Amino acid sequence: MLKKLFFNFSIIPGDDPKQALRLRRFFMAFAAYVICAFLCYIAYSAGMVQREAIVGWAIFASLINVSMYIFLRSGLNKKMADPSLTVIQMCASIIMVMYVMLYANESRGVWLLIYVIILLFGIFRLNTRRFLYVSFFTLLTYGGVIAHLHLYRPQGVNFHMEYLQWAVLAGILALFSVIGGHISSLRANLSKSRFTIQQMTDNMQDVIFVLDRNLNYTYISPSVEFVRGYTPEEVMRQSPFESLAPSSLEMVSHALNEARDQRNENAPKEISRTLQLEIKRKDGTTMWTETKFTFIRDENEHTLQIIGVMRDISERKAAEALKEAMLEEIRRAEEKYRSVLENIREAYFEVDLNGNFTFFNDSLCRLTMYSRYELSGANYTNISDEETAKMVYKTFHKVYHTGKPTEAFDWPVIRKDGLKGYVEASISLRKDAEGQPIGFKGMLRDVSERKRAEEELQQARDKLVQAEKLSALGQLSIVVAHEILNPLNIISMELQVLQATEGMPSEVQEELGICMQQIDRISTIAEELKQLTCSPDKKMEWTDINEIIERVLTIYKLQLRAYDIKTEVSYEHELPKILMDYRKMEQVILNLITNARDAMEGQENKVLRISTGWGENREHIKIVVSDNGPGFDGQLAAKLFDAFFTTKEQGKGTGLGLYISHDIIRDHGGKIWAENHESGGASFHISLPIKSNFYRKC
Amino acid sequence: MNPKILKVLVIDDEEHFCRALKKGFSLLTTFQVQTTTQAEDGLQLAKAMKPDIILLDIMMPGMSGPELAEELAEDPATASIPIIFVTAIVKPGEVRGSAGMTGKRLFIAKPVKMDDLIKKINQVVTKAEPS
Repeated sequence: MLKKLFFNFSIIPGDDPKQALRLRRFFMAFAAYVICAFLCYIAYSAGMVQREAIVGWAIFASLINVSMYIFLRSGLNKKMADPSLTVIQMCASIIMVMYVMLYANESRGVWLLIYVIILLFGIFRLNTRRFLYVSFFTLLTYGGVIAHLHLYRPQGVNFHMEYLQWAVLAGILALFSVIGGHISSLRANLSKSRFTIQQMTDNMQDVIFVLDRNLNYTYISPSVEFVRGYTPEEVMRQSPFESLAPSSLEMVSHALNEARDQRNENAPKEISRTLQLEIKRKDGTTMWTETKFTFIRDENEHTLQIIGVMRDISERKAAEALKEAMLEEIRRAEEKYRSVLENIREAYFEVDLNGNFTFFNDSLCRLTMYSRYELSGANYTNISDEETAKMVYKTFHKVYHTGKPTEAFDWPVIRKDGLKGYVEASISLRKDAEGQPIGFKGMLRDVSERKRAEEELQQARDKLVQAEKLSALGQLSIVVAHEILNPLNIISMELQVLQATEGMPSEVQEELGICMQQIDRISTIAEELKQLTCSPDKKMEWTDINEIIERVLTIYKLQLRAYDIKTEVSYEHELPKILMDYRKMEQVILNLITNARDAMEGQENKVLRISTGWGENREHIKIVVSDNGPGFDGQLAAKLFDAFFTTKEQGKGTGLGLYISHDIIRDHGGKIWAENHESGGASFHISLPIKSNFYRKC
Repeated sequence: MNPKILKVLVIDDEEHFCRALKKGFSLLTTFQVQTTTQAEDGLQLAKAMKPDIILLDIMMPGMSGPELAEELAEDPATASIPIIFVTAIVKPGEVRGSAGMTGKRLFIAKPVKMDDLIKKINQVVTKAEPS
């Protein structure tokens, strides 16, 4: 146990540097004592000092030193206000000297020098005041010695010398005090500024390090622990290159070499480099830093040391990366936006507040037939006629004041070739970052196709109306013909009878003749009216019945839809063509469809069925048109086709439609009849012979 | 040649016309005229009377002129009787075809002039007469 204690015991403790320092100073003082002892022995051998003095001194000295060592080593000194015990040590020494001086005889003066040596130690710790106290103490002890000599051994003592020595000592001590105190305060200031620097470096977030010329660490600030995770001691044990991530190694070696070889006339002593380095941390991750190396060189441009300041720029790097990523996103979005703009069929444009084009995509060029160059300086009025320009201006105006975009409106654009391009436009306001209007933007969709289709449809509708009118007119003409000519006929007959009657006086005959003339007139007019029914261009052609039905349905499609009529068609394909007047046949089909429409009026579910197929013995073609209306009274089946027979209310229908249809079918050598079918509606059947040699002239 | 007394059958839905025609024929000719306003009756009359010529209106309710003509053509008893169509609708010069109008397709337009009619009848009958 004791052995262990002995081995673990160290003369100077390694853990407390301050204590270590104090003990080192103590040992220096102790060394002084030893030298002193040696000098005492020399003095004794020379007979200048009595033996008692030396022995007494030795004992005292040992006592003091041992107890002092124990006091210091045990750490009790730390509890004192002045842990280095400078004053006590000095005073102890002074007392020792006093003891020697008592027995020193003539050599007393020499020992005064010891006082000076002792006071030298005070330079470390004592301020001027304390120094004075110690000086005072010294003078007191020396004075005490003189007094003692006066009282007990006045013989052989040159008191004048003693007084002089005392006075000189006083002067030296005073001077020493002042100088010593001054030095002491200098040291205190130095200590303070070093302390301040220490505080700064301790609290700084950047890591400060110093490398010697061999690139070993001589200093690392404590902040390295915060930044890299290593304590300064751990880092000091590493080589500086260990801290670098592989990506930065090369950069650093290159920079170092370059700096070393650099000749710089302007600042030979100091050159610096700033690099962005990737540094390894203790936990294995890496981080980015900005490190500034300053090379301190001597006059011959040899590196003395390298001072480095390392700043953590992880956040900055992250922010930069984010900014890059965002810029990239913006770039990609712009790219996308641009490609979308260029690829859509619609034209996109932007104009300033005066209506001049500031931006547009290729589709606008295509739509207006102007080149990009031509449109670049153009205004919206260049692609609009006067009236349109006014309308568009009004629209711009409205958008400007309401701030709201327009709904789609029609803009007849004047293309480069002078033709109108029909366009559906929508416009909205463009604002700058502060929300001030700076212009307009809009999209144009080419609806020329639609317009054309609309126009065609309108034409077809007009044709339909005309056909219906014609049909009505035709029917009217027939009405005229029949209803007027019959009575006319009778009148004529009666007049002729009167004319033939015997005994008619000549005046009467004359009047009758006039009447007959008028009758002729009327019948001519009636004849002319009848002309209207006959279309001048008659077509007898080999025609496919399916095509005719299809054509009628196409023209009538919108009407059917408007009436909510569902159409079911079933065509027998590869039916042979028949020689027919296709206009008349269309009239028949139209008539049947119209009747079906009227029959189903008021119903929720309206279904019109048309089918074609083979007829009797494959010598006929059959067409059936049926509805799901109420059907008709079976007994009237034959009468349906009578002239002027109608089940419709008065005013609706002339009752001649079926009559005429019947006629037309008969002219083609076919048959038409009506049946009620199982589901309750009416169905009209047409049978047309394939070999037909009949025709109707109009 | 004996002036045969021609038998004329008139089928027209206008009664007044039939009456006036009958009167006219009686004043200007020696024809034996029978009239009817019903097509079906006309068929029966034709079979019974065996006229030399039939005057047939085209536009009639029920069975129309051409249809009746078809019926007449189908019946051997009446098939050979010539028919003149009398119509308000057709101009002279037009032909209105129908299944029953093979061969003699003759017509006259209303309003009818008696002289024209009588001439035509004589023409037709003379042609038809076997000689």
